[in-house]
Amino acid sequence: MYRQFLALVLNTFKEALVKKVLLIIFILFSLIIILIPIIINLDAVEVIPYMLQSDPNFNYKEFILKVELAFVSQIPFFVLMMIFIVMSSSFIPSLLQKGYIEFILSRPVSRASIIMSKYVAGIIIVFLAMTYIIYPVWLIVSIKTGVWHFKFLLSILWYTFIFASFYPLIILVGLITRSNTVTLIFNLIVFFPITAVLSIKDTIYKFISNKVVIFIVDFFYYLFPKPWDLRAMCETSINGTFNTSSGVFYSFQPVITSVILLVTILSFAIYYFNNKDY
Amino acid sequence: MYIIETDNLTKIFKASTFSKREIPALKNLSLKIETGIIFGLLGPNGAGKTTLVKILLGMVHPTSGSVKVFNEDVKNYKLRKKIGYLPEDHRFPNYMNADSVLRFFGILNGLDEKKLNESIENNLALVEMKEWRKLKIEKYSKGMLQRLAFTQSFLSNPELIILDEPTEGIDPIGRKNIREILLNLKKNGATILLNSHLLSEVELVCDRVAILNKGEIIKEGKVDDLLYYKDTYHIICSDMGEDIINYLLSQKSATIKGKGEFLIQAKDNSELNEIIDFLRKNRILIHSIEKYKSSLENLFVNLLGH
Repeated sequence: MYRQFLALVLNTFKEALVKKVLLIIFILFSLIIILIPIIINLDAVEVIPYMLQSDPNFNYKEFILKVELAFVSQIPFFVLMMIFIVMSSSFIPSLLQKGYIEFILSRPVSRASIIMSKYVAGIIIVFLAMTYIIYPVWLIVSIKTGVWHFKFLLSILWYTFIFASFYPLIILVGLITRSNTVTLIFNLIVFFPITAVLSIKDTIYKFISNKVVIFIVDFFYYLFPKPWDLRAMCETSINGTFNTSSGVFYSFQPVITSVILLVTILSFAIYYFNNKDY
Repeated sequence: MYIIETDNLTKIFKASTFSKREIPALKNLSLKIETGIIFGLLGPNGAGKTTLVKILLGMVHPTSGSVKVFNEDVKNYKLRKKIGYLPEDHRFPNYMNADSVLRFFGILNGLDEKKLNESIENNLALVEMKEWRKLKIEKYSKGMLQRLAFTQSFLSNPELIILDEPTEGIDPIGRKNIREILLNLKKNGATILLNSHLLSEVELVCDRVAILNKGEIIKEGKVDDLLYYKDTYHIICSDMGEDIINYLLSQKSATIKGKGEFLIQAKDNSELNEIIDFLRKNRILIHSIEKYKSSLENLFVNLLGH
């Protein structure tokens, strides 16, 4: 059984490789990895810590940490998630193509396994892509500065989890619409601006007093994945302020609700796929 | 022993997600297919053939009625290990080649590495595709794609093979090759369900056929029983005169097809011999006498009233 599952996962890898998105990720990340040591070795950059040391509050380790955190800040996060959404939006519609789905469904493989193979393949690809960018960056910065900030590597797991919590929605929309374009546009809109706006709901509430509107905002907050909240948690877990009074988050609420949502949407997607005629 | 059994099988599709309009695809269809035969499923477009096939494979869920394959409910996906399938209008990912297609589907069918390698080697040679095994699918002709799709249907040596238009896009020599493969698969114990518009092909290989129209079976039986007219003979002879033709028409209710060709009914051998004696007495040379057989095409056209 595991061989069949593995074959389906590897087939998704091949599909992702053939599509240009993964190639773009590879080229983009490789460029960053090549540029990092060059930038670090620039005289102008090397002199920055020495210039800042004149500040009595300057902390060299914190400075390096801030440099690393720049890689998981909002803009790189936005770009990475966009790339991952574009890459994975075609997985389900291409599986459901007339003439191909018949081949897959006529095999002794359960429909749940087919969906799970797509899910696992997407997560592995994101994990590998994140490892490919984060690990070399961490290694280069650490070797060059002598500051070994291991917590930075947690961002690989955090980003993989963020994608894992968002991916079931991509799968579900793909199953329902069977359209690559609709799946892509819908999920891009959900990611930005919908979930981005919902992530600052507490700030929005300061300007709203209508309880109905607050209820609706709350409803949508829990209905959709929470990539932006999780990203903020990722940042606080790396800089060491996570779950402390000085950190942004005091609870695991976004993680817990994301896991519940992930399981719910994925289960519904499997149920939908199981009952659909092809 | 039946390999496929359906009882009052009904499938009603909704016109669209939000529409209440219903389209009946199958209506109380009861069908039994014996093990070890080639069964032809015929019918015009929209008759429900593909719906029936997809229900057998668990791709479409029936609205009511029961369906069993290998005496098991089709909901059990594991029984598909014993089934091979060639869909109509199939599509393979363009980045694959014949080798990777067969490897992928072979693994999904549960074949181990050794059996898979052997099967790929043997079957690619069988359909004359060995030479093109590493060529990308996007470079294949329609005939090559069809041969590849056909090959994957029997790669794992299944007990039941369901083929939807297997000879589509294949030249006459390739069709003959496919016919031979089908007969060989049958000889090795496989049961084949053949869905085809090429009635002459069906006639050549099928043991039994069912003709579907608007979701119902309108005729089902052995090919010979359906095509051979009972007690009717086809006689070809030298040219007959008007008086002989008139006699055959008035006294024997013959169907005259030409001056030297007619169909005649004879209850038994003695009645047939009487007619032969009459012809010989009138110095008519008899070239051939054989039991009259129609064609599936004629039967199909007559049944569907076109």
